[in-house]
Amino acid sequence: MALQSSGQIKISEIAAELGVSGEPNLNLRGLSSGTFGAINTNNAAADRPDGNAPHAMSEFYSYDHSASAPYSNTRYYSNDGTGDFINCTTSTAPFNINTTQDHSMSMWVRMTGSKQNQMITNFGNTNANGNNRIMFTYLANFNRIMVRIRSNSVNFDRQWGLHDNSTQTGITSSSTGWTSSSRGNVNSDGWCLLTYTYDASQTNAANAFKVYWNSSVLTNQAVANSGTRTAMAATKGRIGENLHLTNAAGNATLDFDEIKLYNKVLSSSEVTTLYNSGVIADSSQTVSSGLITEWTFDNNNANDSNSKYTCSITNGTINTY
Amino acid sequence: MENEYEILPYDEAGTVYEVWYQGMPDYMGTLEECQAYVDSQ
Repeated sequence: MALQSSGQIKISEIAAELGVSGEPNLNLRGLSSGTFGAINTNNAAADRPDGNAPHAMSEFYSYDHSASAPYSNTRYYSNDGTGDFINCTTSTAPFNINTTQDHSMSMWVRMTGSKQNQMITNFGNTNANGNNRIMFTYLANFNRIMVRIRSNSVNFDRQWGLHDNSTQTGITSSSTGWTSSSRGNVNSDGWCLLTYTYDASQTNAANAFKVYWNSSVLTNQAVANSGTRTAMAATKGRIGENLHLTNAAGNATLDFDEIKLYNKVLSSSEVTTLYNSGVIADSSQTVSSGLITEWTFDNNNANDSNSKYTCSITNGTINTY
Repeated sequence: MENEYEILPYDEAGTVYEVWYQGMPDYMGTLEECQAYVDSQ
């Protein structure tokens, strides 16, 4: 537990935090310079003593001797649109797609290709066909982003024209669409945060789905379809490609990072926190409540953080920033 | 199995159809419009 951030602080409290209470002849200079125990440099520089005279007890404000290393986003995944994908499979589905289980997915993406269909993510219960899944897709012909539950060849979906929501997306032309040279509203490195939320109990798809571009919800819906949903377990998933095909027309030309899956409908304020003013970050630095799992790629593989799926990369690459 | 081109109902009423191309919806319209789209490819 960290030391207090202000007010009176005692040598004995600093010693206890450092785990050196039994040391004889404790003194501030020794505590500050690491004589009695090394200072944990995982603390921010402002939250630990600098070791230089003059030493001040206030330099220990907020010092946490057990602080973990701060998260550093070092890697991302690239899906180049030619036979690339991340395959996810499990025998125990971490979420179900039905009329009772809410969920949300959020991810940073960077468009790297020309105007074409993009299968961003899809999760369902089979790799044998495309009938049963929830898909998050970009439809090039319509310049729309869509969330669709497709079960037994029936659609429950909501779609938004990116050009109809140009204030949020920054994409103004349907004919130009979403491309590497028309990325819309992105951060300084070309990334945007895409988030969809699914409120399962809603019978009208227009009320069930929301999509956010960065921290802004898309407000101008193109169409919604409220067909009957048949429950399925999300035992299979693919990122960047159709569940049942390889090297298909919808193979995504997207870089991905910090893909997060939640067991709830994220609120608007939570999406703002996820957006993090355009700084790509993991759940520990943004929203951890309700997290099922996340793909950060920082361990140089496609494993999800809570091992809900067994994941493997086909053809795609993990790159460093 | 959704093959290269398939024409599938979009809505339950059966008034709107979609052309699916390799597992992705690619065109939307009446059944006749969708058939014409496929024929044009």
